[in-house]
Amino acid sequence: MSLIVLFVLVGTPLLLTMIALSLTRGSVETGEEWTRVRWMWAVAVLIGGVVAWLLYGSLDLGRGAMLVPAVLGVAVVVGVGLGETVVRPQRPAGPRSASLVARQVSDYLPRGLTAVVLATAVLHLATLTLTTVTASPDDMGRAGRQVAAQCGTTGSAASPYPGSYYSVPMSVVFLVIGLTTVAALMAVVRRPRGFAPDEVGDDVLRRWSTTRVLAAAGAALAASHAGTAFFAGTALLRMECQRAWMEPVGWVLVASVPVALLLLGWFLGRIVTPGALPAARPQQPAGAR
Amino acid sequence: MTLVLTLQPDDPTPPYEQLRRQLADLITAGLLGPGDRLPPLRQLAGDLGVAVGTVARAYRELEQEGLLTSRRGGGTRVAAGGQVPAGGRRQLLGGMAAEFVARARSLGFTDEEIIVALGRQLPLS
Repeated sequence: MSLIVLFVLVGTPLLLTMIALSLTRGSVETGEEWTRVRWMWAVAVLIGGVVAWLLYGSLDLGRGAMLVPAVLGVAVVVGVGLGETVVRPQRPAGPRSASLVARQVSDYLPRGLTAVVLATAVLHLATLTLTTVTASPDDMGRAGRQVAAQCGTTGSAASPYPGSYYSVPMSVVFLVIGLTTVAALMAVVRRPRGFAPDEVGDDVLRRWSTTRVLAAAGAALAASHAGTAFFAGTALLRMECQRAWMEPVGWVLVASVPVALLLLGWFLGRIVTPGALPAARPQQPAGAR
Repeated sequence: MTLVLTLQPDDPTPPYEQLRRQLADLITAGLLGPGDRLPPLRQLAGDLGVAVGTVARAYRELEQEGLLTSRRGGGTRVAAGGQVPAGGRRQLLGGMAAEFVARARSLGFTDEEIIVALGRQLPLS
């Protein structure tokens, strides 16, 4: 199982990188990049979908189904990251300028979106931690695959429940999403100047790029949380006998599913919304702009 | 005010020397003060479309002149006790004025014309 997941996590980004490089072959004309970036997204979703579908078919006991949103999320984050860094137009010829201000990722992160993505990540990690800690082995002895409770002499159990059987591979996928997001954000901030008529426009372009990368990470987290919370919440509510915490936690998890789906829609909207560059400022003497 | 470095591709001066000179001028003019942090090599090289080694050479030469200081993990900063000569700012301006006057004279402009042209560029004077 781990080999398949590893192959997916290494192979998908590699394949998408090769496609991104082929999309930039022959140089991208200014103004044409938006079309190619959208092609990159479409290819990422397509490849992510195929990989997720293959994974769904090859992993049993619902493990494939639990990983589908996260794996699709990896492809989206990689695709959006490549679209913002590799699929770029050629810079115009002539004198090149550089600001003496050191750029940092934190300067380009939109506050509201960053807060929502972090909140989604915390909610999802808290959910996974809770389900991992409270899961038990199933009747075949597979650790972390179901939730169980004892009521006097009778017991009750429900599965699939995202214990370690599911949460460990999901955590690996999230680690990859996190690292890919950080790498893409750093690449965006290091991206050379010169794609906009002036420095203000350049900063605006860079902020759009960080917004899209961050929104892609948020979408991956929200999609995955919707699935995990649905399985965990319904498993807790299905139990015939429950411990005191199970019913309220089950309802909270089920209630978080539509919230995660709404957030997913919002994140996807932030990715695909194009922006307009501010008008170029009049040229000022070199040295102090 | 954002300070900007510019590389002229048609200037026969090597790119590292163009960078070194512009940075030295900014420090001498006081626009870059002691402790001011310069951008990382990769950022500057990427923006200017030159090799990282080109920027590294400019930084290294300015370090040797005592104008910059580098520390592992701390980036490159303008040296606290930079060896900017006393009156360097005035000297820099004088050099620029001399260059301008020499160029204008070589193109056949008279001193009166040069003074009038300068006066037009300085509306407060």
